[in-house]
Amino acid sequence: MANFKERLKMTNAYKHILLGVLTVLFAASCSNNDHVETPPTEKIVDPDLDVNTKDKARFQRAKIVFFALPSPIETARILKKSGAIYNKSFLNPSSSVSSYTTSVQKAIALGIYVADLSYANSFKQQQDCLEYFSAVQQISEDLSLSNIFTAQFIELIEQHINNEDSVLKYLSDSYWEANAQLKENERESVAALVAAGGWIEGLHIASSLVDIDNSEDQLADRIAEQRVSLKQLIKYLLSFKDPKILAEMTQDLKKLQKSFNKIEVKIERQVKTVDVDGLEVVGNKKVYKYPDGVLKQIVTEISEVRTKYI
Amino acid sequence: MSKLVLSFSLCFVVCAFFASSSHAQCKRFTEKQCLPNLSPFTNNGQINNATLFEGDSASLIMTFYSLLDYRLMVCSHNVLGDSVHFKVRDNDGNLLFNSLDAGKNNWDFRVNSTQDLMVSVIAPEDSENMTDIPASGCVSIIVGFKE
Repeated sequence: MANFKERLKMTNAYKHILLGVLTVLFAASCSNNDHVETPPTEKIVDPDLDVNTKDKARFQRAKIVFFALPSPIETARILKKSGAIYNKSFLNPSSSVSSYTTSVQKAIALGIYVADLSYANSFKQQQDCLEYFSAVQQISEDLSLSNIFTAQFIELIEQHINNEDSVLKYLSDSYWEANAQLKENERESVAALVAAGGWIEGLHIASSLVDIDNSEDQLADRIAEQRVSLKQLIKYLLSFKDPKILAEMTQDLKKLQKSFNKIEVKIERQVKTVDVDGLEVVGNKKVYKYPDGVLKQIVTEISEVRTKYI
Repeated sequence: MSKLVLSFSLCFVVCAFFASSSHAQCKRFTEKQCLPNLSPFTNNGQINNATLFEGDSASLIMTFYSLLDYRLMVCSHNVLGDSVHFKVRDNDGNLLFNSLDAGKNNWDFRVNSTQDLMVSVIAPEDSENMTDIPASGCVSIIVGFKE
C-alpha cells in the first residue's frame, strides 16, 4: 500500500513537471513571433524612440534591432573599383565543395563561395562563374535551402552568362532568397555564419592582392575600412541568444579585431554635400594609417582564419 | 491528463505555425511590394523585416561602403497606414535623413568613408484606432547599391 502511495505521489510529481515544461514551451512559442533567435543583447541608445506610446512596456518589448553587414556581392564590387585584379588561384576551389561535413562548415563555405562567385562575376569570368554557381547550388542543397539554386536556375544563368548585370541580379536575388528562407525557418545563426564566411573571403581576396610594402595601395585602405564592418559582424554574432555554434567564429574574429584596432584612424568632420548627379554625400571622412608591421600582421592573421574554415 | 497534454501540444504547434506563417507573409510582402521599387539599384541580398505593431520601432545598424551609391528603402504594409517613417543617423547621432521631411520612403546617398549608420523605423500609434488591439503589419528595410 505504501509502495502504491509513493508511486501515486511520483506520478503526480511527473504530471506537474510535464505541465511546467509544456507551459514554458507554450509561452516561448507564443511570446515573440519575430525574433526567436536574434534578440539584441545590448541596449542601443536610439534618439528616435521617444515617441508617444500608450504602453511603454510593450514598446520596449517590441523594439527590434537588426545588425546588417555589406554583402559579399558589394565587397567584390569595391575591390574591383579599388584596382584589384582577377586571380583565380586566391579563391577556394569549387572542387572542395564536397569536403564540408557539418552545417557550420557548410554555412561558412556558402558565404565563401558566394564571395568567390561575386568576385568572378565582377571580372566577367563567365566559366568561373558557372563553376562557382554549381558549388553554391550543391552546398545550398546540403543546407536544405530549397528551390533557390535549382537546375532551371543554373540554366537561366547559362543563358545570360554574358550579361554581367543579369548575373549580378540573379545572384543578389538568390542570396536574398537564401537569407529569407533561413530567417523563415528560424535558422538565423546559419545566416550569420554565411555572412561571416563571405566577409572573411572578401577580406582574404583583398589581402592576397594588396602590396604590403605600400600602405598607399588603395586595397590597404579597403582592408583598413573593414575594421568598421568587423566590429559590426562581432556585434551581430554576439546578438544571438544561443551562440554555441557561433562561439569559435566569434573568438577568431575577436582576435583579428585586436590587430585591426592597431590601425590609426583620423576623423575629418564633413558637412552633407550633393554631387553633380544630385546624390547626397554624407558622413565623416576617415583616414587610416598602419603602424609598422600591422598590415603584414593583419594579412597573416586573415590567412590563418580563412585556412581554418576552408 | 492526456487531454491536457494534447491541448498544450496543439497550442504549441499552432503557435509555431503562426510564427512561421508571419515570416512567410512578411517575406512575400517584401518580395512583391518592396524589392521591385529598388531598381536601378541592386538588392544587397540582406533581409531585414519584421511584423510591427503600431507604436513599435525597429532599428538597423549597417555598414555602408564608401565607393558605392546606396538606396535605402522602408516599406510597410497598408494596415499600418501612411505614417510609418524612418530616420538615419551617423555614429555621432547627427540626423542625416528624415523621411517625414523628405516626403518619400527612400533615400539615395553615398558615404564619404565606410561607416555604420543607424536607421530607425517608427510605426506611430493610430489615434483613431479605438480598439484594444493595435494594428500590426510587415515593415521591411531594404538596401540597394550601384557603382
